[in-house]
Parts: sequence; structure tokens; C-alpha cells
Amino acid sequence: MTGSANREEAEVEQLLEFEAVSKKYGNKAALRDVSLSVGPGRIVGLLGSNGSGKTTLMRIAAGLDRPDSGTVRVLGHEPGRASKALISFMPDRPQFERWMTVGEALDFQRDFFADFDPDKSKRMLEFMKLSRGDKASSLSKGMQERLQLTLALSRRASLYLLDEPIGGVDPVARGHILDALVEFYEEDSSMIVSTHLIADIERIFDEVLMIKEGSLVLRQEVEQLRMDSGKSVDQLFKEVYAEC
Amino acid sequence: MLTLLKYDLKRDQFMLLGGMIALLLALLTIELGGRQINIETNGIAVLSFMTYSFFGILLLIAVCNSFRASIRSVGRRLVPLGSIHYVGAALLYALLLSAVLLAIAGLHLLYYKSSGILRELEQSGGVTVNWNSSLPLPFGIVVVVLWSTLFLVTMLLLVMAVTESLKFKGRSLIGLVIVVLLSSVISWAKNAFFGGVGVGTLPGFHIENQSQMTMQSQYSSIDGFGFVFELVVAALFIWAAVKLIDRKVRIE
Amino acid sequence: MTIEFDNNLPIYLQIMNYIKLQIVTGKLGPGEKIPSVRELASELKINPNTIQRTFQELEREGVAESRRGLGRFVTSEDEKIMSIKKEMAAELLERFIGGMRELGFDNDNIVKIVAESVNDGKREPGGSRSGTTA
Repeated sequence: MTGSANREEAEVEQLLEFEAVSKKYGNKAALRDVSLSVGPGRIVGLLGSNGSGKTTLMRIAAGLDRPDSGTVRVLGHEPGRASKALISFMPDRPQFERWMTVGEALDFQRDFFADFDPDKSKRMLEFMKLSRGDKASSLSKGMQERLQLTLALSRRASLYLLDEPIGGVDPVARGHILDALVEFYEEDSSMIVSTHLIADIERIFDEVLMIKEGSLVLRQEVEQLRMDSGKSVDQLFKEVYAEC
Repeated sequence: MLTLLKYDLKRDQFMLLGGMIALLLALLTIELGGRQINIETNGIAVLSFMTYSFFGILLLIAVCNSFRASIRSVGRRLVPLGSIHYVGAALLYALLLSAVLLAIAGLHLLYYKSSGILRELEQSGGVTVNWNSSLPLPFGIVVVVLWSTLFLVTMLLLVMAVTESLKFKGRSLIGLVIVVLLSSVISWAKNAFFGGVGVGTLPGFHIENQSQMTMQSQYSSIDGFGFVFELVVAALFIWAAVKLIDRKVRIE
Repeated sequence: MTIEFDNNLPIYLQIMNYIKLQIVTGKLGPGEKIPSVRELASELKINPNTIQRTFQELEREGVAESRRGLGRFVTSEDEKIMSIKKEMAAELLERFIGGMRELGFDNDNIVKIVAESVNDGKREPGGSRSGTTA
């Protein structure tokens, strides 16, 4: 299965490609020589502990940070205007502005992104139990994450980058966000989900990337991994991180 | 660009409304209150002028803050727009606010003219207007004020882009130093090459004392190389600001 | 529809077994329509690609068949359903017998214990049903 997928990779256009990407913040290396590619129709788990480089990787893909060396391509484009139109990024902190209501935050997405889907956004609002009139900045943390996800998934983007969508919420809310991910995921697009909470979410992944101290340490099809090792992704993750 | 401006205005709507009300209240207080305590007309005119200048400075601060917030904000920087749009939106913002300020001042002037206060001021020497450009005076003032605001704003935007690219403390101090340096270099260059003539030099308003104000216009000229020089400098500022936003400005 | 998944095993195998169990127990009748990839993915909170793979495997085994434009259906061949039943029974038995041997029972003892247990179980309706299925 993986063999044939690898053979096809050369022909299928990759949604996201990193080639030998490195990034430093001051003296601290955030990414070291990372190469990866994500094809269409995949849900990819980007796994790593806090500070391992997950957010940096996503910010570079989203065009918010520039790599110090290496190349990044989004459907063949360098990060910039074209790539920003193709990517829907959910950052790990609020992307809406303090003054906005839920409705205004959605209108902002509608005004700037051609792939905004009003119908989908309406369904998501309902699913997330958000109302347009609520002030975004006075929502609880859990509700803010729901809004963030609504903003990201209301678009029909080619690539979704979700940075810790289940990070700061309680297990019940976590379940709800997971439901939304599966419910509103577009099958022909791809999604990269970063997380350090793996047990809850590993069943939605096709593939996982494990990143440790800025380096990519493992890239595997999830079912293959279970078949070969008889272990869950969560177990394997703990083993990889215990090594240090 | 316009959509960015729309969200700038939405974000700042309460501040802008508050500022407008404060300006009107201040002007009204000066006009009515001044007459109540018998300040002479010249003094009232000078106070009003100072109020406009003060709000002009507030306007620059508002535009800079808005620009700074935009180029740092994740939400705004994720939209598929080139960096020039952030600069463009800020310039439009500045243009819009100065137009509003000018409009209020224009109405104020019309009132002075129709009530004969203006003539009284000119006769008493409280206001001296030295205007020797080929353009009609009101039009000239509008163009000169708007252009000099834009010119100043391009410089301030560049400085904001520089300070937002720096990672260490004391950024605002460095910003201030750059402002002083840039403006001295520009005025030196203008003096050296064009005899100090250019549009971007605000018409020389001089407040002699509490009751005397002179408007010198001989350094304001829309024709001539001074203006071309300013255009080139502004374009350079914008280009540099765009490059910095592209590459260096830290997004939250 | 709920499955307790074991993350240590390939998910698609678990869903395959689950669907087979539904067919064998009659919850999904012969020729009946199987939920779509989308429906099953959101219901089970599983990656749609995994469901897709499950269906492909089920089709390959002849348990399900897809009709163009209509969706996927359980096979209507009784023989096939019977063979799934036998296959599942064989798996169950293999595991059971393996476990019993590990506990130290020999073949005769295993048969004896099973016979006793089945006869006891007759009084409990739940027990007897699972007895016949196996």
C-alpha cells in the first residue's frame, strides 16, 4: 500500500513541499533541514511536544515566516499571495480582532477569500453553537477555538493547516471539535493537524509526521504503522520522545 | 486595499467618532467660550488653528497605530494581498482623515468669511496670507495640506516598518531617531538642490504671538523639481516599507 | 452505530469486522445498502480514506458490491454470508481454543467444558443466542 503510494507520489502534484527547510529564531534552531511533501486528499498529523517546531513549520507554510534556507512550495507556488489564497490556516492564537463579533469575523473571511462558502459557514456556526452577534473576544477559550475552526473550515481551501485545534479545551469540547473536523473536511483537499494530544485524534489521520527539536524523525502511514508495529501512534510517539 | 481600509475604519470607528466629537466640542468651546471671556478675535483664530494642528497630529498617530496593528496581525497578514496593500490602505486612511479635517476647517473658514470675521482678521494684521503661487488659494491649501500629509505619512510608515522589524527593546527610540534623521536629510537635500521649494513642506504658518499668525507660501509650489523630488522620495519610502513588510516585520 | 476502537490495530480491519458482524447478525440484511463513506466517517469519527479502504477490501472479498451511482450494497448471495459466518466462527474458535490450551486444558477437556457451558447457558436467553451465532 505504501509502496504504491510512494510510486504515485512522483506524478501526483504535491499540495505542500518542503525541501531542506531550516529556520532559526535568534540563536535557537526551530527547524533543521526539514523535507516533506503532502499529497491531495490526506489528513496528516503533525506530532511533536511543545516547542518542537510544529508551529514554525505551519507558519512557514502559511507564509507568515520566511525560512532561512531551503524551499517551500504550495501547489507549485512560493509562499505569497497565490499560496495564501490556497491555504486556510488556523493559528494557535486568535486570528480575529478584539473588536469583532462572531459575524464580523466571518465577514472578514468572506471579504478576503474567494473560496469562502457561506452555506458551509452557516452549517458550521450551527454545529459549533456559535451565534453571529456574540463578541468574539469575550467567548470562553473553548468557544474561541470553535470559532477559529469555523473561520478556517468555512473556506473551501486546497490545504488546511490547523495548529493545535484541540490544544486548550476540555475532553467534551475536544470530541465536538473532532466531530467537526471529520464532518467539514473536504475530501479532495488535504489537512495538516498539529497536536501533542494524540490518543484522541489519531484515528482521523492517514499519515503522521513526528517532529523533535526541529527535525523530522518519522513519517509513516498510520495503518501501516499499526500493522507493522502492533502499536498505536500514541504509544510510538511516547517511545520516540522518551529516547531523548 | 479598500477592503483593508474598510476593516481599519470598522476597528477604529469608536475612536474616530470620539475624536470628531472632541474636535467639534473644542472648536465650539473656543468660539463661544472665547467670546464669553472676551478674548479678541485674533486670539480665537490662533487657538482654533492650534486645535486643528493638534488634531492633525492625532490623525497621524491614529494612522500609524492602525498600520502597525495591521502589519503585525496574523489575521490580516494571512489574506492573499501583497504588502503594498497595507501601505496603500494606510495612505488612504490618512487621506480620508485629513480630508475630513480639512472639510471641517473649510466650513469654519466659510463661516468666518460670511460673518466678516475674516476681513476683520486681515485688517487687524492677525492673519497675514502670503500666497504667491499660480493656484487659487483654497485649492492650493487643500493640495498642499493633503500632499504634505501623505508625504509625511509615507515616511512614518517606513519608520513603523523598520521598528516592527527590530526584535530588541528601545525600538520606539530608534524610530524617533530615524524620523529626525530622515526629515533633516530631506530638508537638507531640498535646500541644497531646489532652494527649499517643494509641496511637502507645509505652508509656513508662523504664530508670532498669541494674536498673530502668518501663512507663508513662497516655499510651497506644486510645479517644479521639488515636487518631483518628493514624489521620488515617497516612492522609495513605500518601496522600502513594502520590502520590510515582506521580509522582516514580525507577525504576532 | 458505535465501535470501541483499539488504536493498536489497523482501523480498517476493525471496521471490516464490525460490518461483517452486522451482516452476520442480520442488522445489515442481504442486498441492503451500506452507509456512504461520508456518513460512516462522520459517524465513527474516522478518516474517510480509511473507510474507503475498508469498502475496497469488503468488495475485494465479495462481501459488498458497488453499483454505479447507487452506492454500496451487502452481497445478496446467501453462500457468501454463510462463509463470512464460518470464517468469523473459525477465528473465534481459534482464539478460544488457543486460550484454553494456554490455560492447560487438553482437547477432551475443552469439549467437555464447552458442552457444559452451552447447556448451562440455555437458561439465559442472551447466552443461548451468542451460542448459536458462534
